[in-house]
Amino acid sequence: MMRRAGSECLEGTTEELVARARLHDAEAFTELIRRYEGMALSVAYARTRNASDAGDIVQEAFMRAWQRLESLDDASRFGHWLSRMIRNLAIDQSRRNRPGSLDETYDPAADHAGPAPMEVAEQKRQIDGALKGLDELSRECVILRYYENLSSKEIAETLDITPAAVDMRLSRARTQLKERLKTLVEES
Amino acid sequence: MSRNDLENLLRDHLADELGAQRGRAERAFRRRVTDPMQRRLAVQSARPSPWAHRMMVGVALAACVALGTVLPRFLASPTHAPADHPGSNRIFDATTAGDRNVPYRSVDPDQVLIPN
Repeated sequence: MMRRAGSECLEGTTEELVARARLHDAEAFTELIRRYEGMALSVAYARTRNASDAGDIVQEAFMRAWQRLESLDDASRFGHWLSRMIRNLAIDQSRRNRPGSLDETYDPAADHAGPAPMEVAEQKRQIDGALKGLDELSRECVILRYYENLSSKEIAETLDITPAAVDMRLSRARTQLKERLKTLVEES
Repeated sequence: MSRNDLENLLRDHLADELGAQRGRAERAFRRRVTDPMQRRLAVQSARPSPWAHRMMVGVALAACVALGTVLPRFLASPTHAPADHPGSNRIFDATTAGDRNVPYRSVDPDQVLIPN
């Protein structure tokens, strides 16, 4: 989870950075954004399954986190606190924009500039469809593992479940995804 | 499909989907919080500090007091006193009183004038 972005990163634990950010140290909070952006995008994308919407939600979530940092009781749980905020924002957005369905009409290829080749668009559609078949918590586990490379323990802390539950969900999700994407890999 | 194939497929797909969103939150935070904060700090540092401001007011007050004390004395000095004022070396000269251009003449302060 401690992802570094360039040499201008600040040192310190999450707790230290949160303490500094509470004193309106914007640079300390920027470092928290760098460290937790991947996790935040994973959770938001698992909920919305639209990269652009996920980006919007993450942006808004960090602004809220900056404004409400005082209400965070345990600074070491910043990631969990942020992921809860992201889930709430995703729920608000799905109610506002897509009543009844999170993303029935979403075309992943439409997120990218320029026309994608047919095969690529088809592959994206199939993977997206396979991910859509998972329940939200399992999808969060899969994206946190395969986008953010988090360990089961880190995923468990973020989602407030046990590491064993994470492993179980990942195992079931892999079986389900393999089944759904079997033809895709055979074709490619 | 092997587990490795599946994992590579997912990694590529997710990196492709979310790669463009990376850095957006930081840019937005800088635009909305960090930059305005730095501008405010720059404006504050450009203003004089409270102590510098007090010092400037103090100097201005001292200058006013000094002027109020020194100016009357300066005006009362012989070289600047008005005509006929005690200490003035200019007295009214009746012989040229009609001449608006030369209503006064300078005299020796020790000279005793006897009116006609």
